[in-house]
Amino acid sequence: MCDTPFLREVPFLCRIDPRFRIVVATAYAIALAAIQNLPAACLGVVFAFALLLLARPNPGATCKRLAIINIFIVFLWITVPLTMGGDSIAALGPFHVSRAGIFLALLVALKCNAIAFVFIALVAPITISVLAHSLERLRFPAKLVFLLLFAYRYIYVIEEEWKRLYTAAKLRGFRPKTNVRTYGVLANMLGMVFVHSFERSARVYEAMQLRGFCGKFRSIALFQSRLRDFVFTGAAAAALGSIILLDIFPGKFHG
Amino acid sequence: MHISEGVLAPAVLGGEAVLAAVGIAVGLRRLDYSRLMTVAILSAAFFVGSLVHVPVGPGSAHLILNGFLGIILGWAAFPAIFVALLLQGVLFQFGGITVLGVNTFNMAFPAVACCFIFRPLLSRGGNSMRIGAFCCGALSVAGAGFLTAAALAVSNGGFTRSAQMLFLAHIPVMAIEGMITMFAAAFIARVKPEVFLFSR
Repeated sequence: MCDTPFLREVPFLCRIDPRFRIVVATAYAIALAAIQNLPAACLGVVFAFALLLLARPNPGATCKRLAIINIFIVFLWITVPLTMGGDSIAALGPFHVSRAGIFLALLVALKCNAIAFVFIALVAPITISVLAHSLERLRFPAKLVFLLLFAYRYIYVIEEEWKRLYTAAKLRGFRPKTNVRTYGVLANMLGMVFVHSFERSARVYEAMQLRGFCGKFRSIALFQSRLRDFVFTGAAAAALGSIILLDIFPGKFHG
Repeated sequence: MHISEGVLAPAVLGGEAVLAAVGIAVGLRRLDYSRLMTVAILSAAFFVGSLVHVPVGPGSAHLILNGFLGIILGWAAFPAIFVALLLQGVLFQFGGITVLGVNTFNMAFPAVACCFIFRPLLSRGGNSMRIGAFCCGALSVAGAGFLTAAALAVSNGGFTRSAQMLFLAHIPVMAIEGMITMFAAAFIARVKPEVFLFSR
């Protein structure tokens, strides 16, 4: 369930300091989220796709992720053009397909996928522990970093526990159906998971206190900014600048 | 449902991100390191619980459990939900960085509000507790659905109808979440009532 198919060593992009990758990806996401013109969004997709090609992620996993991300976009494609009103370009039974609706759905689809490409290329290959420590170096609150590290650590443990409870229930003849009994059984199992988690947290905290935990983690990951990190960031900033310029002055580029 | 990136207007994204940051700051300020571990592990339990699918008629829906987390954690639900969503974003690319603030606030705010509104009922025990827990579960999902739909509708007039449909889709989930929260809270009240003392 919680596998990490993007974790493999690939050349170049993975050797860029994760802090720089996080900052670039975030800047890119914020800029693209603000874009309102189609040409700029198209340019955003082109740059993002180029990054994705550079990162060479696992193609099967990438397609699967993109499919999940686009479920909401498909929902918008189905609803927005038919309900938005305005100029209609075609009629589908009682509905009119609106030009503005198509434009809006297309814009959103391009922006969403461009941001997804950038994140799959730059952030998804970072392990959670390196991510957490990078965030700490980027002045993220220490308590949030703590929560992130430990929540991630225990997801797998709790998932195992849930599976064990579910298997046990199935062995005793539990078949989920749409009825109150099913919800009651599932809720009791969830309650059990929460009670166990609560007890586990007390044990883990005591164990950490015994080992002298003082609220600070020391990372063995070395963060060192090199020339290539700055070159990469500069190139990304130039690409981002061109997208923003194209968004602000769309007419100037039509020749 | 998670809103994808690139859908909402920058003003909505920014405004809700600020609100979420305030909620997270309040939540973290009230936590010391001795209680942080509990929030971290319950955040992981929330993450796993929200991947559980329950049958609804011919299909299935995944649980949200924000109301349940709100009952247990109070204000700390803000950082817990933020972390779970951040992990979902990095591990599955559900949601994403620009909508993290929006999704955090939309889920955590109704949960925290319900926790405080229904606390008198919840602490009374028995059937009052069950009713309070049902309301927390159902209304937290309703609030999350409403805030998400509102964010969509405010961003662009063209999304209004889609936003209405999105909210209507939350209604069956509301009833189920209410029941699950009620049964789960009753279970915890029987088995380990001190869990509910965490946020007091």
